[in-house]
Amino acid sequence: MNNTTLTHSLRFIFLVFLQVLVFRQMTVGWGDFNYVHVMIYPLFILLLPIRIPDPLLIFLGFLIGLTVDVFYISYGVHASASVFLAFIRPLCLKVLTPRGGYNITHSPNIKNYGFVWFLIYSSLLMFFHLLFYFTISIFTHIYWVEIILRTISSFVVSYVIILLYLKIFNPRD
Amino acid sequence: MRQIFAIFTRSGGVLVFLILEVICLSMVVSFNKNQKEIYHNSKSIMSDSMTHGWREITQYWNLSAVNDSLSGVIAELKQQQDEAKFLKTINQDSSKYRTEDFEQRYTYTSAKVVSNTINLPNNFLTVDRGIVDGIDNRMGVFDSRGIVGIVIRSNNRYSQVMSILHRDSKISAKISRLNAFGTMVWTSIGNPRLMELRYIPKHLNPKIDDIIQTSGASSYFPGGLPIGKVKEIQEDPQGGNFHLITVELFNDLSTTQYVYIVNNLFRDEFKEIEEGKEDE
Repeated sequence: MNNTTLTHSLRFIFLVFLQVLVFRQMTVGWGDFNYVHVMIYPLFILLLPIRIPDPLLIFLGFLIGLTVDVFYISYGVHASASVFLAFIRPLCLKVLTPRGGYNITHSPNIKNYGFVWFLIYSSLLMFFHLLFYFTISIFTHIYWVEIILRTISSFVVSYVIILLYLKIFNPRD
Repeated sequence: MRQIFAIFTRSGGVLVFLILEVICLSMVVSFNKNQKEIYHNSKSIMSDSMTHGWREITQYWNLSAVNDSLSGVIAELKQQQDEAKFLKTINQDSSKYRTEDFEQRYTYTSAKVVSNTINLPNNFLTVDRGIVDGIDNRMGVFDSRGIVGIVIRSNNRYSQVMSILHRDSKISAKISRLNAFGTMVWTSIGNPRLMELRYIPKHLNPKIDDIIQTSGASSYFPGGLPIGKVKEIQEDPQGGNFHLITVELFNDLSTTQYVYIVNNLFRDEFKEIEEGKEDE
């Protein structure tokens, strides 16, 4: 097990803990106004190295989603959303290819590709992740307004939290 | 093996994505109460509408079978009507007739036309009923719009019908308004819609558009089946005592598909007395 794998494994565990122990309580604690679901675990998938093979990436998405699902007692809902996130990550990277191309050993983070690039990259993926998550969680097109509202409100809050996380921990891999 | 591996690495992402997504969604609908209910409701709505749509499509496929069975049912109903029966007793008060007073006189069998000609001087049809269905020579054939012909030959499965469009066909007919009997013959070869009604005496005044029906005075057809209407009335150029009446048939024999074959159960007795034969 080399250094990179260790870093990502530790991040996996840490993000799941953070998600389950801190942010799940926040959602519940806010009572009526449960339009906001803070999502921080997708950051694990966002920060995986660029060279990671697609099948492995998607499988890791499935793994972290399912782990979160176990604690949320919503088997499959988070997993399906993060599998989707992992699936569109390579497409998103392809669209956002910087002028010099990618250094495949890098992870897509602020340090390597700049703040603006990461802002676009992570907001795009987070938005689709949340949209997919609320679609599966509400599961009917009748409440599409609810889906959109929850996606937008959760996106804003989650995104602020993610930026704070990145500011505090400043991941290098 | 290497090629399979190459395909997997190239499109492996999509494959893994689809597999895992299917697993996730099946977990969603089996372990989560709300999603489960929505899923099962939507599924039943979907399958209902699909079954419905499928039925809409497929009901056209078996229309021909439906037609066959319907024409069979019509034949059945026709022979239950009073017109198909013979009154055994004579009552003064017609309201006192009971079911037992009627004896079955005609039975009907539905059939489908297999082949048909109309353009020859002597035309024939073939229908898909034969001896096993109780079809015999000299049975009348008609359809919902008019009369078609007379069975002349049959084997086990098929029967040949002499069309009314035949030089030898003579149909006993009447002008229903006048109750005047005559004989229908086909002289206008090449025109399958026109026939000629002969032997209507001059002292009667048939009019254009008078309805022509079967007379019932033959062993082939029950009385009252529609044949056609008067199209043209001419004087006999040879100065005879009869009108020369052209009849336009209701029936268009070129489009006949389903026919009914009528079996007159009293035919032998009728023939016997008509032809003056007596056993004694």
